Amino acid sequence: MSRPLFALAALAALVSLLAGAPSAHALAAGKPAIDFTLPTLDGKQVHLADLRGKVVLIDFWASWCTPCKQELPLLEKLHAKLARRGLVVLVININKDKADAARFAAAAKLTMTVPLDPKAQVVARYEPPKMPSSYVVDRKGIVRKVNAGFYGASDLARLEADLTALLEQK
Amino acid sequence: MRARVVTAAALALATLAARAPSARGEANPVLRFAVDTLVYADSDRVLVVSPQAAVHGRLDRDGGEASARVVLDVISAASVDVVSHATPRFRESRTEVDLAVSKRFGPWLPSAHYRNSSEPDYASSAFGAAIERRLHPDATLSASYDLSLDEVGRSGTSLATWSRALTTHTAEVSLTQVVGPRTLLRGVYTLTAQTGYQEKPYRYVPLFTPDVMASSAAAGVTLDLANFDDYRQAERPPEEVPDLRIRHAFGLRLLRYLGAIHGSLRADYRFYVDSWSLIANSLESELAIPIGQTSRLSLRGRVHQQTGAFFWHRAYVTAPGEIPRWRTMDRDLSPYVTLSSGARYELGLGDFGLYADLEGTYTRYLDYMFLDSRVALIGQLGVRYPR
Amino acid sequence: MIARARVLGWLILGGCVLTAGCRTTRPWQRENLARPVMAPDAEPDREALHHHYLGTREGAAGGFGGGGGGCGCN
Repeated sequence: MSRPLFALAALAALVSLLAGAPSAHALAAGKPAIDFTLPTLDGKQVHLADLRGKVVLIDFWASWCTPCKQELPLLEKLHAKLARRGLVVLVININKDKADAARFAAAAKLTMTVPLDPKAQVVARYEPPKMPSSYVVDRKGIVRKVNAGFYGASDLARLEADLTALLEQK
Repeated sequence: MRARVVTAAALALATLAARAPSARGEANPVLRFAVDTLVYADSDRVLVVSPQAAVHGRLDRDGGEASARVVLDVISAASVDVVSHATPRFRESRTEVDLAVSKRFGPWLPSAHYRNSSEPDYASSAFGAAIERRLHPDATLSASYDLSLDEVGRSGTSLATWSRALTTHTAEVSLTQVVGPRTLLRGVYTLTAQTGYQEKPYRYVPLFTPDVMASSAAAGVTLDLANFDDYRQAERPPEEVPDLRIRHAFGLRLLRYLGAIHGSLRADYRFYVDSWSLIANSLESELAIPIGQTSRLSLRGRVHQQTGAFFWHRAYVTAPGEIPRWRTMDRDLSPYVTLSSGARYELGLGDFGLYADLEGTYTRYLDYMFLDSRVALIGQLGVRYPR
Repeated sequence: MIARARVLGWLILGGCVLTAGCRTTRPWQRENLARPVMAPDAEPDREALHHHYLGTREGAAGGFGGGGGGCGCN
């Protein structure tokens, strides 16, 4: 157990840590939004491909994620403002238990569509870098922007600007 | 000096408060305030009250912040350490100011801090820097270095009249790893090197001749606080310990989520060894149990065991006129075992977070002339805004 | 004594190598890690005061560390 050997082992440990970096398959801006069909909180189904031609905002959230719960009321306001201009907002809940999603949606009086992904099948394909993460999808179904995390009202102002610009493009 | 430091800290806090925009609509509050008080009381007649106030101002989205913390220790003691020198109860206070700043640059989170502590017979200034790097989403490596420059004085004498220097270098590496969706593991190594004056200037060491030791043992007398003065040699030299102390600490932390109670179990183990041959093992475990949405109860236990330093003796036995090279009466260099148990209750009330913590400890000194055991109670209260 | 310290060092290193080989825990799999009970450094101010008391009442020092862990949120 010489000193150089110990240093070598430490280096090996670091290298193996670095090697465990996350996959590069995460859905990024410029790529087509991955299609999905999911049940919604109000008992309907939503199929992303059916929304082609519309500007869509997809957001992943969970009731255990504090910044998600801070972001949703602001997304609800954004939805109220831009829905009549054609914006569709899908706030996909990933809780295992539907009741957790229902409890928060009721308390926050959400009127946006809440698709349910309790087995994390869709979220695992999108691979959001943080929770929450939102994806701005244009009329052609291309992801134009990924907003990772939620840090305050300024995130929503940026999202609103991006969405407004896309809504103006016919 | 102390007034200047406190003023500087107050100014820093005020500047932070003045430049902070409103916290409304922000996911992470821009400013957070914390006020805590720790009260320590033990059966050795030591009472310490430590109020603390801190403010944290967020500088970026991901861990960067500026913070200031002020701690005051008010100590009142008539412990065996004091009364064994025929000194009455003493009372003194210490002020500590900590300033820290950190800023996120991608995966890197560098930080710098400054600490100043002053009391009538001790002044300490420390500067440090640390860097934290997210190696990947599951692993965080951090490293830090801290340099503390201390000036040790004598109570009742100004530092200009009599003082000695103590320099402490501390380097630490820590790796926190998410091992799975329910488990976190952390490994820490701390290296501390201290050079300079490590004695207490008011501590003098009683010496005993072999004859006195033999006769007192034959008479069935055990030397203790009540009788040691009757047996010791007339000369009582000041404490003397080596100027260099190299200290190693290895820490392991395991944090595991417990689905059945929606709580967690934390287990910490620390192995410590230093160049004075003091070896310590500390094991701590805490069970955190959420109660409803806004409160939590935590129960913990701790065992600390240590050996004595290589020069530790219950009684220093020398021929008359002979003084041992190294000699100390510092019980923290003696072998002992401490058992602690504590509970903490945390409660969220609107935007405020409150907690109350109570801990009891029992220490069994295995080889200390002045004391066989000590019982201590430690209470801690705190308020956070926003929680 | 030093041999014992070295064995512990090896154990920590071994642990790092083994755990580093584990598959990444994704942000959406961090429900339990996101809970306040799983924060490895929940209350720095409270801990600072507690460690200050421990540091003045024990012959050992260090080994606490900091950083990392937690939620994949933000």
